[in-house]
Amino acid sequence: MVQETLHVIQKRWPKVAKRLENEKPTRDVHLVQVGDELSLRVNGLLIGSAYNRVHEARLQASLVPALAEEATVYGIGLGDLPRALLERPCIRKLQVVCLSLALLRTVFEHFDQSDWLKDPRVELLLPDMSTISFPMAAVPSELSMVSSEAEALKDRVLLELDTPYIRERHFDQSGEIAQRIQSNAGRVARDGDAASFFGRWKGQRVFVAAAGPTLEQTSQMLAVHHRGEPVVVVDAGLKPLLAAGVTPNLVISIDDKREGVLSFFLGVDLEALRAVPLVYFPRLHPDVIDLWEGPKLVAYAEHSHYQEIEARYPRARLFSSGSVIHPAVDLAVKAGAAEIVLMGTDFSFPGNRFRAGAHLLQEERVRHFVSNGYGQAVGTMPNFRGYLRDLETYISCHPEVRFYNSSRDGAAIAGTEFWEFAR
Amino acid sequence: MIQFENEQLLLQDCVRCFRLGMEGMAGDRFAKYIDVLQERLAGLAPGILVRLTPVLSEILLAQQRRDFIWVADLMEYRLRPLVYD
Repeated sequence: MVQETLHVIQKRWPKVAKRLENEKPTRDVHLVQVGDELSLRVNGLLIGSAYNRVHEARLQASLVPALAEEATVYGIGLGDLPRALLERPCIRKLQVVCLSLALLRTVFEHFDQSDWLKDPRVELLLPDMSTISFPMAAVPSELSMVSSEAEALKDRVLLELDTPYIRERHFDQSGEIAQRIQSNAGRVARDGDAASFFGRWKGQRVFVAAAGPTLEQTSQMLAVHHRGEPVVVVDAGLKPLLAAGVTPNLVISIDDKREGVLSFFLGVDLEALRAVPLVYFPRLHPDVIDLWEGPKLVAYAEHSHYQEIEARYPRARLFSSGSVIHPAVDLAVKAGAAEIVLMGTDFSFPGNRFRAGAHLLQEERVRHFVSNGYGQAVGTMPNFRGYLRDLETYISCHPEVRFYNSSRDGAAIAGTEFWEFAR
Repeated sequence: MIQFENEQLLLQDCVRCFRLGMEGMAGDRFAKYIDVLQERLAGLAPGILVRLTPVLSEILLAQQRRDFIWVADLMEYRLRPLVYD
């Protein structure tokens, strides 16, 4: 069974076969039988339904539109998902991306896979691509055991699968956000435009500070090596930055939660920041906007929430995909930065801390991981990983800007180089 | 009756999300379903409760170790018939 399957792969995809030859099957493997159905448990995780694998695979395949001619499958599992899609006569090409060679090698030992691998419509791929293809479906159990080379791809697949939920959460069901934006219309009319900063820092190096735990250390290093370059900081990063003695050129705030955002400014001498503009999305609570003593500049995210007010008061549009770091970086890019040095963009819990200045987390509560700048696993949350991958996609779309990351303790960010302050 | 059907729809939706790899939505539906199930438990016959308890424990353990396909199997094929059939 193993030899026949390997022979098919050798013949059709020699590059994949070569990698598989060096792969050892996983040891922690148990066959699971419930009634007539047979499945596999690997490293404690069930790979396919132990009750009805075909039913499960057809459900997973339902993410691909019924009339699609091409599709991509992330993960192979027991081979049921590729089989379910190949049942469709309209499928002309099926890309199957193996996310774990160890799992594939293990599956070969117990289940014949040569049937679907022989199908001429199938193209078997290694996970060496950085973007995902559509339409797509995935084998969820394999997403939990990917090889390190497939980690970023896995995060993108999970992010894509979670998109309906993210939309559901951001959908303004109660109309509260629309009402908030409406109630801020007077402030939007009165306040300036964040676009006034577009082109202002042409060719310069700009420091963009998020509020990750490493900001405490890197802001102190910036204080020592700062040569007057512009600094943009997100609201939650303001206190650590000021504590290090660095005054930012811009503060940016986009969150609608009143108490959370107010706490970022609590105890800050706002009068001393009278010359520093606050860039805000008008979903921000009016108490936060009114608290700021310096100039206020409005920007919008590309979201239907802002359509109406944007028609009345056109203002800067900034990239936003859930995290305030996205518009902060986009503003620096649109200001004309040639180099952007990211600080505190950890998207993880280095030193088991959630944020600069925050308390230690209980380690047992951390169930998700991402690779840091040393290639080691560091605890994170699924939404942080989503923000990270969206930032990486953004960076890949801006080859005109050189991006640096000032810490290796947080998540590794593709498309950045390491920034040494004492260079 | 409507409450009964809504619970089953919530369970089905939760199972569907786990099988599709929609982790965020599955976690949300799972938490909501466990809440409504706690209310339902009070009305179940003692014999059913005895059979349900180990299933629930296994579901929670599987959920903690992120064995989501097994969570879906247990909910769909073991818990649902006990509570609703």
